[in-house]
Amino acid sequence: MNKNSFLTRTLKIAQRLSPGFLILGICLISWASYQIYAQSDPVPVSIEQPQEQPDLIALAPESVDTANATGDPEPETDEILYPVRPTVGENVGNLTLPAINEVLPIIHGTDEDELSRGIGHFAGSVLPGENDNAVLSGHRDTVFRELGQLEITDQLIVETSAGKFTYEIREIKIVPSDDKSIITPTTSAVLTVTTCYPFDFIGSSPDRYILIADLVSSE
Amino acid sequence: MKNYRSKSFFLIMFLSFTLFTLPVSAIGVDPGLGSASQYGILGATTTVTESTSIVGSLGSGGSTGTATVTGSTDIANAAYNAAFTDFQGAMSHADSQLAEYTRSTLGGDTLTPGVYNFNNAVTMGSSITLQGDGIFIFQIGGELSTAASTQIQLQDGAQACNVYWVADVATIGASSTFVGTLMSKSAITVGADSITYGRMLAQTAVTADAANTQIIVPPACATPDPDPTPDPEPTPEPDPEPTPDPDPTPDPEPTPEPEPTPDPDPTPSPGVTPTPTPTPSPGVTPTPTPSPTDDQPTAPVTNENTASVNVEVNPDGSITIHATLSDDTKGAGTWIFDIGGKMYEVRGTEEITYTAEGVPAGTYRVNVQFIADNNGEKIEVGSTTISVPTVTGGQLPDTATPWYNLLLGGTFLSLIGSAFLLRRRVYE
Repeated sequence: MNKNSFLTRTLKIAQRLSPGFLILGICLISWASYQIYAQSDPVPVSIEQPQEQPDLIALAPESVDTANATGDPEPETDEILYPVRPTVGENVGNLTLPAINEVLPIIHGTDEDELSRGIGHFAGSVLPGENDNAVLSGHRDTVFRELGQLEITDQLIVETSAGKFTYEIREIKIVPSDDKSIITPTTSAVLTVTTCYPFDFIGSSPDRYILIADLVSSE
Repeated sequence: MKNYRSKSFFLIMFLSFTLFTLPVSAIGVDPGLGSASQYGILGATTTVTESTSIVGSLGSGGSTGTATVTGSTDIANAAYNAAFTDFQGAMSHADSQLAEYTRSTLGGDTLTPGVYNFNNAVTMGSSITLQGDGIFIFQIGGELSTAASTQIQLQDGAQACNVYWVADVATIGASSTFVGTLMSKSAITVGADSITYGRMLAQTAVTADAANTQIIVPPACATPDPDPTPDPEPTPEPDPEPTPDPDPTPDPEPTPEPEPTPDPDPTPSPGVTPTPTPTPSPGVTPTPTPSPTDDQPTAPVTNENTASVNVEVNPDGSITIHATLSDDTKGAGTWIFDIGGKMYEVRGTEEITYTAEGVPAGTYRVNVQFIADNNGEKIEVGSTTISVPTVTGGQLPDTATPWYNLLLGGTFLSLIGSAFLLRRRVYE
């Protein structure tokens, strides 16, 4: 009897609160939809394209000199593409995906603050165009919603202050989220693009979707 | 009644006053090593080899092996007994001081002088920086261990002679740089290729028989002068005369000269006459000595060939800069390292070894400048180009947003809400 009255009382309270539930639910839905909508199409940044080209030319033979002076025959002759390194939160450039007709801004850093503004450049990796593994990451449910449509040999074009770098996808794979073999140094210029996988999984996803692309041209 | 009230007022005043003064009185006091201060290794038993090099003395109740010692070797004699007693006194003095800071972890931080207490065992997983002129005391209620290749760096007048560690037992990691007097209630084990600017004093065993172990006893601190400005020797760290190189790995680059030609920035590179600075005197240039440039104190002066900059990229992604001034510039000053556009300032003397962590990956230039204390003159020491690789084994970023979860939650809430609304309508 007592239990029954408790139950009816709870039901009554729930009934009184039901409009609140409904309103809260609708608010959550609209807020989340707005966020997804707003973050899916971040505005590309304008890049001061290489007026520094003369600087680069001046720098290039110089770095060759340094390598010679150190007596190092190894190809330490990398040009200095980015004399001033970006800080976290700074715009690095734009990523163009011609196959799905997207142009997205790249922000230095991969914390939530940066990822909500575009694609994040993993801060422990080199910048695009440099002779090593540059890692870009983006949200699977906003900027990279259609990343799964890209195929091998599709192009990824990165434009930064150092120029325009075209990469071609060599490998597409899915790895567990704790895989440590993706963010590693490489001997040639490689662009690694990561996002969460499965694309429409609810909750924090167990896997990562990885695109590995080689530099084919830089201008 | 009135009397009582005023009494309680004074009592409260007095109590709050003591409350405020207490932390001030807790600043660390030098524990006073006495005759133990000359010993690099001191322990009831010690294990060393010939590749253990001690700049200082070795004291032991019973030693296995012989070390390369610049001071005396005292095995179970009167000098050893006196030093051991002094060490025990200093250890209890250091351990009993009131702590200003209570912490549980160590690594990656910058600490100012004071007494630090740890209630637990401490593993120093990454390098730390001690900053400022004053006494540092670390009381560790358990084992102190430092990870391999970690460093303790000194900045802004911090001195090795002012750093004291008290631990139950201690292990110094391989290839690490340790600073300070380590006093252990039981044993100490020192890793291979490690370098200590300080002392290893243990109540039981000191084991330092790994290859290339160096212990350098710092000279006594300069007078405990309260004001830090006229600091005669700000960092005792860069005096590696007895040690050829703190890093035993073979250096691939034979110290690049600062080679005047490849200087890209508009500063007067070759150091010859046409300096773009408005000083009209051409006679300034051949003498890089700091005297006559009073009107242009910050004008960069290119140095003679003897200055050198050598940068090494370490496997963990940090870089080690080794820079030396030319022979005619000596004394204390501020080193400025421009690492890819980010400036680092370090106090130092004419030779410095600096490790910068968290430097960006990629190819860029490291430029080194030195501002001497005595005249504020800025010297371009040199620059070199480095390539820092992408980190190995980075954690893939989390690229799921909470928005899908919120969508689901919102849908669920609205369903419940509308279900109850409908139900109510049915009832009514």
